[in-house]
Amino acid sequence: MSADHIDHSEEAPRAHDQAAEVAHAWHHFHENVRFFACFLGIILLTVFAFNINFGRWNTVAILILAAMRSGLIAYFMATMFKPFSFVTRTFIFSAIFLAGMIFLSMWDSELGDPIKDRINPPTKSDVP
Amino acid sequence: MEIPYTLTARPDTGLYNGKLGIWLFLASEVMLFGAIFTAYLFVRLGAEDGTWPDHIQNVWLGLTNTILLIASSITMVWAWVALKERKFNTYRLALGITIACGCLFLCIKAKEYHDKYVHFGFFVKEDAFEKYKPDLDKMGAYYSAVPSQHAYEVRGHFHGETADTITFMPDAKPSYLINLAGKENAVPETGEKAGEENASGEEPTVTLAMSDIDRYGRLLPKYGTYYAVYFLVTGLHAMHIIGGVIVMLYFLTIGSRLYKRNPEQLSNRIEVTGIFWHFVDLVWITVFPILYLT
Repeated sequence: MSADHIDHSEEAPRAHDQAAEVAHAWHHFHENVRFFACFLGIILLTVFAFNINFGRWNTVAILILAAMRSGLIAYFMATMFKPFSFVTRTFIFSAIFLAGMIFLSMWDSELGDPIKDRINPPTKSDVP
Repeated sequence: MEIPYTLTARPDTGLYNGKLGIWLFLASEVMLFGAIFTAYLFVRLGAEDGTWPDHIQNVWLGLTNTILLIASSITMVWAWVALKERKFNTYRLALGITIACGCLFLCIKAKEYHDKYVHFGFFVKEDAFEKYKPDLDKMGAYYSAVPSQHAYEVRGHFHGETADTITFMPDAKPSYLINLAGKENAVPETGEKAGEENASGEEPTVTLAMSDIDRYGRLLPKYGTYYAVYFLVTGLHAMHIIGGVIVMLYFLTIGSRLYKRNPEQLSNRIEVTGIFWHFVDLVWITVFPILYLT
């Protein structure tokens, strides 16, 4: 078997892998374009809504737009690491850490102590 | 000895080394920005009536920056795809556009910071405000009550001061595009408008007596909590942009030599840089509404 023959037989699957990787890369690119188009759309919608006075529906409009934005960000992040369970676990633990930090911050803030308030609800005399 | 898993994924994590590193780094970044956003939430909820400024930011500059970052995220993925296709020139073009977008973002940010530096805010004592109210109303100037401090806040561009007075050009009242609530928010059609030159080419100004001012200052962190939060969050974000641009400049110049030796490794490095860049973009998409649309 000549050296040339061996080289060609190894290059064929490599070329196939390369073509598959390029196809995957383009798929990833189009997926990203769709996401970023959605991000741009939701941001433009938010800016437009910012210039409208909805009166008593302002809070509702803000919450709906905020939920749409956060949902899209979470979905985008999820698609970025969906094949990597290790990364998913890392981010879940980050979220738990963050939630714990928020809880402790609330505990130490004037907004309310989640433990004390539950065990010993504030009385009228505590409220300034 | 060759370092394993620089190109191929490690079986247990499903990632090559660089990608594992960037995801761990981003996990720490999520905690950093998460902590700052949480702090923002507490500071915002705890703010006294009227102390949190509204309509202080130039929304169009912020929106331009958002569009720039979104566009740069797309060109970043384009650069990665070009490397996968082994199109080196396309890669350089795409990465160059990404860097240009990042630099433009920083230039706009610098302009915003400069605008804050030359902008002043004045807390006029509540009992003295009636003296200035007719003039400010006639000019369509924007002011807001700060009940907790028994004052009214007016913002504008500083013109000059004497020992007893201070002169400034007040900001105009923001006009809503559509008013579904039916309240009157539009700028008056007559009189000299705040923020615009009048027929004689002079800018309409207001002169306040020093004795009527509770406090005043440039719109910098020490002026108020909002400004401290604004400079902290956008400053930290801008540092991430600078870091990203430096890394991309490296891969556009010296680092691009790797293409000749191992194009796949360069494409991995660009992918990792792209993940970081996407994260920076997502942070901005979160920052923009909470700091600009207030």
